[in-house]
Amino acid sequence: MLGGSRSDLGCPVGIRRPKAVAPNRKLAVDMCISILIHMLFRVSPSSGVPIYRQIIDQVIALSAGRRLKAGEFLPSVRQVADELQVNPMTVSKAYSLLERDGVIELVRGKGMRMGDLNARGSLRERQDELSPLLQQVAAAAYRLALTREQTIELLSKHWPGGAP
Amino acid sequence: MIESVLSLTNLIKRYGDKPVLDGVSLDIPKGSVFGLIGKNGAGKSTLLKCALGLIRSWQGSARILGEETRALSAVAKARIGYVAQPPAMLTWMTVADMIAYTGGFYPHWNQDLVTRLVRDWDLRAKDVVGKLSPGQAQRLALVLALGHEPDLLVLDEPAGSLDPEGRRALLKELLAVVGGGERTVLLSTHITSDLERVADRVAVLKDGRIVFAGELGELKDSVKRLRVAATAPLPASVDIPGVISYAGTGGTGLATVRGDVAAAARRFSNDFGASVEVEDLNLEDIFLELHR
Repeated sequence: MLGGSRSDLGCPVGIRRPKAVAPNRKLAVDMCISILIHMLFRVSPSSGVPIYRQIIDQVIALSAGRRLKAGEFLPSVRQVADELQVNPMTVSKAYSLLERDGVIELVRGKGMRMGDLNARGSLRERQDELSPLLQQVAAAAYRLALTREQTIELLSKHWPGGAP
Repeated sequence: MIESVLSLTNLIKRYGDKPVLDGVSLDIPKGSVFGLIGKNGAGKSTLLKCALGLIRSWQGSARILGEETRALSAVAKARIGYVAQPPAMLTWMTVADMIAYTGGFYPHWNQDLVTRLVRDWDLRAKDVVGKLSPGQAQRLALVLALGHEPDLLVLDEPAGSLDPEGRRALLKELLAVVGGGERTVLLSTHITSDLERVADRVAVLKDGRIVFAGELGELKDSVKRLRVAATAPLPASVDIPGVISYAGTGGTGLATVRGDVAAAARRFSNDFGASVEVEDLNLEDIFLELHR
């Protein structure tokens, strides 16, 4: 649970929604949420990538890097919009697309919870989903005269959360 | 279907023989921050004024908050806030008088909000309105338009005379307005960077016509630049669906594509044996490309 103690700030993970919080701790909780949101998300509005896509990419990257773990709650749409100073509809769009793709799930009255990425379909199903994209990648790599090793190396570089 | 707060159908407005609005249709859903962008003279102010009924002689249909613009009730008017460009105010009043005077017109007036904004936005109650700097006058006009907490806030070039800090403060206030999802903001601007942060939907007005209306994310997804590189020389012009501009010299070409970006990229790749790199464009780039 997110409280006011400093140790909670050491680990930038998702937010567990605080239950009843004493008024004198409210400020501390708000501050922690604010810091956490800035640790989770960084948006650049004038980049060509739509803001909702930037948020989606970051949730997926954080999840792949195990900084957001299954079962953890994301900050609310309102909190993210307030902190990042972006339109709540934009955040809401990102969350609903993440929900559609099964990355997060809505828990009634509590918010958006990180789903378990490993639990989405069998290995075979997930491989089938990726195959057409990789076909294109392989064809393009061949055309650019890149070797198999060079291509795989490049792919690892783009792996969410950095190279292993 | 989301409720429309403002809905225009085939709006036509001429000044003399010159058509300023040439058949504009637009729907603004409740709860959005809607950005109307266009060059100077594109007809943005005229569009807003027609929609609000401030200009009367036009053809077409306009509905606002569920009522015909031409027969807007006092109740509906009290739910609208509008800041003109330049802001219209009584220059001989003090800031405090101007606020009290404006507040008197509305059945609902949030004085706490107004007091906070006056303080946050560095306005002084005793200053005379006519002697305010353009930026201060703009901020005061915004305070006056926010005081009655309108359901529809219409701002004509609100950020034009504000410094970066003032613009940020304004955008923050606009987000607070739409935060609950019940209220709507429509603003016109030619400063696209202001919109990228707050707007969820935009419309691009060009020569009196809407050339794009929809989600900002959708616009960014649908307009891209392709960097084309081939071993053989590329032609000087291409005939590929979706390409809105193209320039090719030697083995390299630069194309801006709207619509099915992937299909256009495949065409370049197949037709010329070229490698294609897709580049994202920000709103300003897209705005300029749509005006070629």
